[in-house]
Amino acid sequence: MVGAGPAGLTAAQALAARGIPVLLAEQGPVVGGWAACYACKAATDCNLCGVCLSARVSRTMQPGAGVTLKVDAHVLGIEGGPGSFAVRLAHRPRGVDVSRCTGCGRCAELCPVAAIAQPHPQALPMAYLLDQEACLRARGEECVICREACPFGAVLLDDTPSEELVQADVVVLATGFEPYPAARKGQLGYGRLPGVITTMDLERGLWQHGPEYLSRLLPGSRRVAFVHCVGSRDLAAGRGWCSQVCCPTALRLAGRMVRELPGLEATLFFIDLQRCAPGIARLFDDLPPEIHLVRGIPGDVLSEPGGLLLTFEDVATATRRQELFDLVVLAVGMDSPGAAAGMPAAAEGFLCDLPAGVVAAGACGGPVSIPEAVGEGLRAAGAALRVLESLS
Amino acid sequence: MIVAQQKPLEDIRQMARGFRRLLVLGCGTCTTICFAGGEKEVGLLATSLRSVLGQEIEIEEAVVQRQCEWEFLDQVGEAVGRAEAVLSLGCGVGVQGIGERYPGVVVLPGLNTAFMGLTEAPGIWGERCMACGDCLLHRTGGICPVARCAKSLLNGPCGGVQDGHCEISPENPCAWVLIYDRLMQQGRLEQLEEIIPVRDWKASHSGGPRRIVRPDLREMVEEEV
Amino acid sequence: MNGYGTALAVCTCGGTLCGRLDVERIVAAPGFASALVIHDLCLPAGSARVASWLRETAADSLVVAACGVPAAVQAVVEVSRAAGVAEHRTSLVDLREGCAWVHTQADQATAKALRMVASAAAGVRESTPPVPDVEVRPSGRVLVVGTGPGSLAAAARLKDLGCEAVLISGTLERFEGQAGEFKARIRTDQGVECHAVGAVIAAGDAPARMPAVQAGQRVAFLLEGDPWPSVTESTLSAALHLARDCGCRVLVLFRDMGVAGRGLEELYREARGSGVTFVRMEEGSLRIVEAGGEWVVTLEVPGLGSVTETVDVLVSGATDALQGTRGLAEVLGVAPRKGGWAPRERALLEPVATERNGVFLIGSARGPYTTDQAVRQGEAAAMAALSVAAPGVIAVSARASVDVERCAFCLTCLRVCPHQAVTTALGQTMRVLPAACQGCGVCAAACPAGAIQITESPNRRLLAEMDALMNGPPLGGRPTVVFACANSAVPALQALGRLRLSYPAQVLVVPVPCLGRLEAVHCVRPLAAGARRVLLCGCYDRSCEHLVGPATARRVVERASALAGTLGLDPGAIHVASLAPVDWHKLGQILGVSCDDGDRNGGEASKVTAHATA
Repeated sequence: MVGAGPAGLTAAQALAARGIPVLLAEQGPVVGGWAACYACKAATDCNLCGVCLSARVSRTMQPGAGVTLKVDAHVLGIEGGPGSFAVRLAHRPRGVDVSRCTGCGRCAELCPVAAIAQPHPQALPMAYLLDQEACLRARGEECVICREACPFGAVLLDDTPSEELVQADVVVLATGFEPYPAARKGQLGYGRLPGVITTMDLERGLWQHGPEYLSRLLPGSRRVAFVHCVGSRDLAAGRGWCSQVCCPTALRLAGRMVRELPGLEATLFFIDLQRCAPGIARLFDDLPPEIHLVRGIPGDVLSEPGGLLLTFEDVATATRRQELFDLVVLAVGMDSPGAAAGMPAAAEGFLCDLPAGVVAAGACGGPVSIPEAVGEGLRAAGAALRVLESLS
Repeated sequence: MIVAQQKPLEDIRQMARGFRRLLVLGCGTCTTICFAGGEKEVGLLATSLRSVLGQEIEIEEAVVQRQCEWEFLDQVGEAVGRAEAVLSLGCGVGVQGIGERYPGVVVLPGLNTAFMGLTEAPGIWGERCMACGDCLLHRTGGICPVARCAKSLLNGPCGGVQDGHCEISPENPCAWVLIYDRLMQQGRLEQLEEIIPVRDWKASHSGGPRRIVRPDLREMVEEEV
Repeated sequence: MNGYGTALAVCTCGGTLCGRLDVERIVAAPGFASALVIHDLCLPAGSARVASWLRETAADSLVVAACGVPAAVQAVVEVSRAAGVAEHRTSLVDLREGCAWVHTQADQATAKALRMVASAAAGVRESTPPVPDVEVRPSGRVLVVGTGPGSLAAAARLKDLGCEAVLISGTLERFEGQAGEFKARIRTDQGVECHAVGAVIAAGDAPARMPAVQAGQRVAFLLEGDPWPSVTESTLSAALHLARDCGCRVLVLFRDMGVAGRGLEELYREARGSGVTFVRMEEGSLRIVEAGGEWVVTLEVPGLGSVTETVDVLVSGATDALQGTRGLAEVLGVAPRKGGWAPRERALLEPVATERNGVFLIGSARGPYTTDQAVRQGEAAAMAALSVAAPGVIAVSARASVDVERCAFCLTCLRVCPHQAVTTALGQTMRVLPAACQGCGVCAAACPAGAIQITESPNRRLLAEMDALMNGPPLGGRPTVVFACANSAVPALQALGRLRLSYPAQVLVVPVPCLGRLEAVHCVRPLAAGARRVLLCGCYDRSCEHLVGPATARRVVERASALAGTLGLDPGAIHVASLAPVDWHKLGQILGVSCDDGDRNGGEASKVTAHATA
């Protein structure tokens, strides 16, 4: 099982529950995928964004329940066929022994340069991470404070990359997605203008800092623009597909922002508003008056003395208009995570036509929401089980 | 089932004042089902009374299966013996049952017994039967005009029906409208053409307190009470 | 082995808790037969040490004060098993995230720790042996309702996985039982058939939407209302076919093109490229007049003025096409929500489950899904169904049970259970179906006779734990009691601990499976014992997997507040709060911490990102 996002975790647990031993390889330091760093977007009631669903999928990963979890493990290559796959894994040095770290935090208290830390407060595994670039040892100093401090001998200062070859009967790829690199749309100013962020930034900021993040981003300011379809439904950008999740995400985020910050006005710029995801229809029916809808995507974002100037064609009135905003949030689409260990992919980059015995699950096969990713995990588990039954 | 409702706490406090040892006795049948006198209501009322009556009163709690049976009441004999008064969370039958079994103890009613009825929906109870002693439900589509018409009319509604509702208690549907609808649904409207003659209400409470004696069942027990 | 008392093991997490708590005072807590300090419960050596010590003490119950990480939970299970202590006679206190890490003053933290330990001890003393496991023997048959692509995909996958898909043609009339052992009665043209099935996967029958059109006719499709992907799919397929293959002139009038489904955007593009005319309608600008078997469609298009088209066939995208699934959902015991899709929208029940274990709704029985989405849901549901319906023997532990001697047959439990887990039949007592019950405790709270016990927290145990928590060494102020829902508040509390965010030691936490477990007495009792505030922290309405938890809690608080008023206690001291498991900030605000963790943790999390995306 490659990838421990909502789809991979669900598939691993479903297979383990049927008595199939699963090796779950995750290239990051913790499970959960992108969804682990999303914020709750409930306004007055839950809007079914699925964040708590993915949190529960991570939470229910119990030790010793048939799933061997390997974090910091990247797949280099997959060879062989059904019943005899050989998967080459590269282990990135974490600097901490996952099986011995209890998360006590003594190392982080004493590290002079804050180079060792817990991944995040709900991380699984909760084992700490050593940032080898920030560590004093990277500058040639002989610091061993964290290793000496650890009551459990869990700090591995000389941790080095390693490789491992594992055997598998069937391979499930759940490698997820990458957000569209918004900086490529230079005219929208991402990475260049300070008030331009993406929905991913906003999710992460709200998750990490809570509503505080909004007042930090927007001290005293009141006008927020959400620009939809950044890297979706855009042939010029090489992304003809609808990413499906960004309209609901923008609506939910706007809903939470206007609730958290009284006086804030949010304007959504879209082509077609996709509002059929679970929970969204309700939000749309009771749309707060502070949320405005404009059909038309701004061509560019300019920094003006009064704020960020958006120029757009308002389709409803067929007029060209300009409006000033304090914050511009780009609703970025879902891209493929790149070729997974040399597996075939369609022109858009999403996996397809996989060889026998290899199953794709979740966003690596095309854009999906969190609940859909969980469903994809179940579906892939079934497909994997079918391959296994055909082997026996 | 018999449906009852707890008296206001202030009324109960007035009744219970002056007694030093009180037994709050619930009933595990009808009044449990209508959320008036089951184990949890006994607990809540006892807690409330301890609070409003303060230290001078000692309160015990118990629940019997039914307060209207001697054998069940015998099970709490000791607790009743310790008490100066028993606050019954049973219906009026239960209160009197306790009084008859334990004539020496003061019995206080914690509930107002309301009617015989059923749970229309969780939290809503409605009256269905007045125990008139001469059932005529077969003639009225299974809907009782005696219990459900404010005037107990037996041959059609009065002139006060408004939008299908009773003029005395507008929140209730008119029983005769219900009867008409039911008979129409069953295709038995001709039933309404039969006039129900004036009744002899002696079988009802109007004839005084009622009693039923079944000699066949009496033979089953050896001794006379 | 009764009579040897309760043993206490305190884990210091490598000694790191010692500065924050007076561990010696905690191990000297009164009421324990024996006590032990260890430093590494969650590592094999530590748990082995606790196991051998526990065997020597011959205690019959065990309290472990450590942390709440899965490894510690696992260790307690293994230790008690190795030493022969029954699992219900053990209790794990989250001393680390729940106390040491979140309180700055060691004396107050120690006082709270002592109360937590005493509370756990009171709990194990009041615990009752769980009802023995029940065996469910599914036959491997799964009922598949519907004839659409989702149902067929589910049936095919079930067959691949060794189950038998029972496809029916008829109306499902009655459906009862529990996951693994359902009974379904189906009325067909021939009569009535009954099937014993382990699960059911139900999809609505999507109505055929290809309009009756002759070659060369003029056709207009009218897409009003919400941009449903299913409607987009069928409309675009039909429009493309008519324009490309039948020589029709096709007009599609729409507001929002619902392309949120795989391949829909491509289909939309292909239809546009094949001569289908798409015109976007704006509010109030459309006029349709019927004249002599033709339709005259007039549209005001911004910037272009008015457009008039005369067509032979007008197809309206009916948005009520799926109401037919409502009756099906009622029979399956998963009543539809107002105005739409069959299942109630609940975050934790997505994407195929319902509140009734073993009942799965997919495709058009669930929402306006496309063929591709329905097929994927069908395959997902087949795998989910396997876990309850695969042939074999499943041991199910009862999470709730009815004391038939106290039961008054009021049927309240049957009415309030959100999971269809309570049943009774002619001549039988009330029964909780173990494979249907999800342990929320809504029935136990509603039962007027106190006849239902939740295995995880029997009422006596809950009350004993609460009372012990309310009494003990001073905390430096009047306590605030927080009832924490296991799905939301408990993980959020743990995150506050991991972030070392401090809140007052007067905050005393009582975990519950769901807020629906609580009664007015639970809220008032702490107030009567001196608490300043009582908070019920749980899910939002639409994230409660037990459907009714927050709504029940609001009613309970109303009743408890009134009761508090009559008792001379503060009627404004009891509150409900909703939060998500990932929203520890909100919980922090409620408990009174500044939740802006500043740059320290900010830096850490950005490092994770860097690491993850490297």
